[in-house]
Amino acid sequence: MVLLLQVIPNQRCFVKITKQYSHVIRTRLLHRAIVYEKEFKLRSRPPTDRTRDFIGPPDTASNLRPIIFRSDNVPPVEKRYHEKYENVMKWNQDFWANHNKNFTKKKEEYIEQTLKSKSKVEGENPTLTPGEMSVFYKQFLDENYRLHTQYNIEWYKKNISLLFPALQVAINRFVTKLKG
Amino acid sequence: MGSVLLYVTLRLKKGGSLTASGVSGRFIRSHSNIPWLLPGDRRNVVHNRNTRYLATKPVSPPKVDVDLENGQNDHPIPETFKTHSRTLHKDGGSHSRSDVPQTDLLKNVSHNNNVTLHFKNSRTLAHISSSHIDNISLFVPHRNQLINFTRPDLAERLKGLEKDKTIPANVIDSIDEVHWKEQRLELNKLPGYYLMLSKIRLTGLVVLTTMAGYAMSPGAFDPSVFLLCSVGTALTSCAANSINQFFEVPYDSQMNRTKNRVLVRGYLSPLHAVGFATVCGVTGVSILSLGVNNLTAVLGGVNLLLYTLAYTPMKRYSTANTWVGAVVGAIPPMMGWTAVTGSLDPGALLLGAILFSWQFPHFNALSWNLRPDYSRAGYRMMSVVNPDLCKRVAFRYCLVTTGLCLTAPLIDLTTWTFAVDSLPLNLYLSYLGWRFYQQGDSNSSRKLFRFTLVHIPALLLLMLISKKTYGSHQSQQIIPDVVS
Repeated sequence: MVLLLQVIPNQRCFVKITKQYSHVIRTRLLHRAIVYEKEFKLRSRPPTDRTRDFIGPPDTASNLRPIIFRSDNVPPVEKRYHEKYENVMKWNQDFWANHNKNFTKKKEEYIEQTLKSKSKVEGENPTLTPGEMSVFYKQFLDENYRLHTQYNIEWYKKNISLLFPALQVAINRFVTKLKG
Repeated sequence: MGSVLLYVTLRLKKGGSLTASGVSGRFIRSHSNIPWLLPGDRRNVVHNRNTRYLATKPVSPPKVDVDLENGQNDHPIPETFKTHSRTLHKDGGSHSRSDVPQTDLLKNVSHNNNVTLHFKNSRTLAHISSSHIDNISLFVPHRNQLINFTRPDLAERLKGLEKDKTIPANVIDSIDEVHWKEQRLELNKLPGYYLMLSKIRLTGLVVLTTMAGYAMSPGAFDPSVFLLCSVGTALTSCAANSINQFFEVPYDSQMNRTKNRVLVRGYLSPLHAVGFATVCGVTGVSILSLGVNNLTAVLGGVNLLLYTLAYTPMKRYSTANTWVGAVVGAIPPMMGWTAVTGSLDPGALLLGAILFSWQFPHFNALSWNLRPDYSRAGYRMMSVVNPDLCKRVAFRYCLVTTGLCLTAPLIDLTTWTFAVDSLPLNLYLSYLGWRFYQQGDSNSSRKLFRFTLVHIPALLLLMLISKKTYGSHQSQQIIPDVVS
């Protein structure tokens, strides 16, 4: 598999920061009040082979691994299963991407706010202790209680509903193997 | 934490004011506080007129000039730099537009983990973004001087704002993790996948407690029943763990601790895992039922359901999940006992109670350092929702474990030696529990967690060597009569 490294076309970036395994390397340059923001990611190109199933690296937003199913010469039973699976995958992707984004945003807001109010009391350079962070973790769980429980129920339903079609596909494959 | 070295050439203008004629920056991964010097190569220096050029060639091996370094740490920002900054500000000829922030050199640490350098003469802002900067050095060739800006506030602030390493997608351990892979069942790796799917180490611990339960129960030791009981329990545990992972795929994907599980990585299909679990579960419970006895089989089956259908979903609903999980951990030793006697005697209940109370220091300490993960993945764990209760309960059950071990001789489970020799072990557990309760930091929780892993096998071993057998129990009662 070919690794695609998107290198910044503009070599005149001002500060270059490299780290051996950094996933996303970001450089910024502000010149004459114009911000150029370039980002390059280390990633592998999604496969173009349509005769096999592939599983990808974790999505940067949702942490879930996407699956690309084969589309050449697929029997209808399998196709239906793939469609169902893709729907669930998309639903999961949307939920977790959104949820994680929200978490990060809320966390940053909390840190900023707490640091601000702390610096008024303690003077300059306040720091946050793990104990103060845990206030946020609890708060986040409490705020999202309904969301989490609803997602949990939905996920269980969807996950179990995929089992029977998967079984059909497995039987179908087995039968075709016997015949062929 | 690393350092950043900025190479600045300062030149004296006519009239004595300083201007920055160039800068180049290079991020250096270093764990020492000694900054590395860039050689004074012209190509690494960015010049006045077109200040956007960066040397793309790698810089030759760094030299450390210790003489310059000595005694110059914690150097305050020298007046010259401030002057320089102001001078340039007044220098109208090359002035920037008003929307460029007029920051001082090395002033700004914005919330994106950036250090921003503003070079007014060239109208350039350089953002150095990294979560690894705690030390910035400026080398001024003109004066042959190295100036360190050790900024404790910088390091501490950045710590709080570091890129969230608890998010799996941010942590790329190897190039393997950015590949697309074909999803195909590899038969030669299947046994390994099955072991991972059944969380073999956890299953091993569960079977160990069952064996201890069997060995502690009064009655003859039957190797075949012992073996069947162990295998049946192991298979039931494998089934429970597989089903658990089948339900948890998106949740497991969210945490570094669990992101490499078989189903998350797609080595096995969900159907395959469920199939494996069904086979294991049915075989396990059948072995227990046919080869051991019905009570043990019922306990195994109930435990399987309790773990998969109550404990697993409950993690999203209530902090009571820890107590349910503790019951799940308490049943296996009882199964070992009932395999011999066929009934739940006080001894079995005591064994179960010890395992039940051991779970709290064990799990609460483990979950303490996973609070960010649990919060983001939506787990209502006690450590997140009620940290004080978490610490209190852990300590409380350390004491309960100590107390329960002392009662073992009272119900004739063990001799009095157990009460004595288990005491140091339990007291140390309680001490660590108390430390965790008092300090509540990651260090104390880690210590407590590690000790619980040693504690329970050691405790079971001590229990075994001071077991009170049926025969000697009666004869011991007779001897005092004879003497009196």
